[in-house]
Amino acid sequence: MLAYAVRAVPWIRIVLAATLVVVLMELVRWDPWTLWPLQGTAVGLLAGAAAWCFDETAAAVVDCVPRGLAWRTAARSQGLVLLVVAWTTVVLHAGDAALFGHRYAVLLQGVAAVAAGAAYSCWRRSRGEAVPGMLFATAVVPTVTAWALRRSMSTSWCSPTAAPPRRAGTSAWPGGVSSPHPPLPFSRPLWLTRPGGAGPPSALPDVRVYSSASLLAESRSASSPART
Amino acid sequence: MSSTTTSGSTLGVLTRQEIRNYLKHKLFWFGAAITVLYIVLIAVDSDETFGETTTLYMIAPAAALGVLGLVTMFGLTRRSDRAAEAAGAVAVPERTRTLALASAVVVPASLAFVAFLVAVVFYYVDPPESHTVWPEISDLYVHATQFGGGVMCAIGGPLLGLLLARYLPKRGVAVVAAVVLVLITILMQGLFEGGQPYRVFWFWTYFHGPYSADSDHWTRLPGNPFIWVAYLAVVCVLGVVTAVYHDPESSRPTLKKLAFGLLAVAIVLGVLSMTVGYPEIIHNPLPGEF
Repeated sequence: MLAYAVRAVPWIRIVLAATLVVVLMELVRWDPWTLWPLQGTAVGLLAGAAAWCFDETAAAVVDCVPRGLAWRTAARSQGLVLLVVAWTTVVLHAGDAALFGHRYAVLLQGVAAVAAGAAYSCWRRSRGEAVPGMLFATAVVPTVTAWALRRSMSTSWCSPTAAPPRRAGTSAWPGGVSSPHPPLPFSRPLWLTRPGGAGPPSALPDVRVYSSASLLAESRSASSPART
Repeated sequence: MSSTTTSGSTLGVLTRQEIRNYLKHKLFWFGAAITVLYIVLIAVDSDETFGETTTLYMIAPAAALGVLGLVTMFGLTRRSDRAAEAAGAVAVPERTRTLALASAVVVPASLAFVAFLVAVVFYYVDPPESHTVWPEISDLYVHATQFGGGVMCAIGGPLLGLLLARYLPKRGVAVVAAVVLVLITILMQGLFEGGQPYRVFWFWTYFHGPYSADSDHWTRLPGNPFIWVAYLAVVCVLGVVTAVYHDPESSRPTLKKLAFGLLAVAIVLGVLSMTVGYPEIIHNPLPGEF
C-alpha cells in the first residue's frame, strides 16, 4: 500500500501545498493583524491539496484492475497525513497569541478542510470522475482566497476562515467569544488596521511630514458633520 | 483572399468564442457576484465607513476578478490547447488563439470598469470624510489608485493566467499561482519599513490608508499612482507579447525586441513611480473614527 501511495499520490504538488501552508501560517504568526487573510488562504489550500490526493488521471485503466477503489483510496489517504501533520505543527507553533486565542478552532478548521476536500474527491471518484480533486481545488482555493481577502464581510455572513473577531460583543468564531476591540466599519478591508495597542507594533515610522495647525483647522472646517 | 484577411477573421471569430467561454465560466460569475455585492455595500454601508470603502474599493475587483480571473483564464487556455491538440494539424496558429484569449479580458475589464465608475460616482455623491482623504491627496490621486488597483488588476490577473498556461501548463499551477500571488501582494501593501517604495513594481498595492503606527491616522505612502497605472498597462502588454512569443511559428526576433523594449519601459516607469512626485510618507493630521 505504501509503495502504491509513493507512486500514485502527486507528492510534488502535495509537498508544495504543505510548504505553502507552513509559509502562510508562519507569516500569520509573524503579524496576525496584517496578514490574517493568509490563514483563510491556507485553509482553502489544505482542502484543495487533500482533494488532489485522490485524483486518478488513468482512471479508465486502474478502474479495471483487481485493486478496488476502496483499497486505492486507502492507499492514497497517506497523502493526507503530510497535510494534517504540517497543519497541526504550524498551528500549534503559532500559538494562541497569534491566533487570537483560538488555536484549537483554527486547528479544527484545517482538519475539517482536509476532511471535506478528501470526502468530496472520494465521492466524485466513486461516481466515475477521474480528476475531481483538480476541479475542486481550482474552484475552492481561489474562491476561499478571494473570500478571505474580502473578510470584512465576516461580521454578517462570512465564515471564521475569513476574520479574527473584531466587533465588540460579536464574533465570527465558533464558541461566540467576544472581542474586546471596538467595532469597525462593516465593509472595510479590516486587515488594514490593527486596534491601538494590540498586536505587534507597525514598522512604519510615525513621521508627520504633513502637520500644521492651520491646515488641521482648515481640514476640520471642510469636513462634513460627524456621523455616528 | 489574403492570409492577413483570413487571419483577421479567424481572430475575430475566435475572440467572440473566447469571450463567450469567459462569460460562461462559473468562477467569473462568482467573482462578478462578489464585485457587485461589494459595490452595493458601498452604498448600503456608507454611514459606517466614512467613505473609506469607496476610496479603497479596489480590493473587490482585484480579488474577485483579478485572482479568480487568473484561474479562469488558465483553464480557458488549457481548454483551447486541448481542443487544438484534438484537432490535430489545425489551421489556427497558437499566436492567434493566444490573441483571442487575451482579447477575452474585455469581459472582466468591462465589469471592473463599471465598478470603478460606480465607485467614482459614489465618491462625489457621498464624499469621504477628511480623516480619509485630506488636502494632501487629490481626487485624481484617489481615482488613479482606484483605476490601477481595480481595472488594471482585473485585466492583469487573467493575462497572468494566460502567461502561466503558455509557459507552465501543469496541473495545479493556477491554484498555486493564485496563492503565491496573494501571498506576495499582501506583503506588498506598504505596511512595512518605510512604506516599501519598491512595492510599486508589484501588480497591486495601496497608496494610502490607515497605516500610521497607531492606526488612527490615514497615511499617504510613497509612490506615484499615475505613473503606476502606466506601468501596469505596459506590463499587461508585455504579458501578451510574451505569451505570443511562446508560439514557435511566431516572428520571434521581432517579438523579442518588442518584449525587451517594453521591459525597459516598464522598469523606467517603475523607477519613476517610485521616485517622482510622492517620495515620502505623509500622515493625515486628522485622526480616524475607528
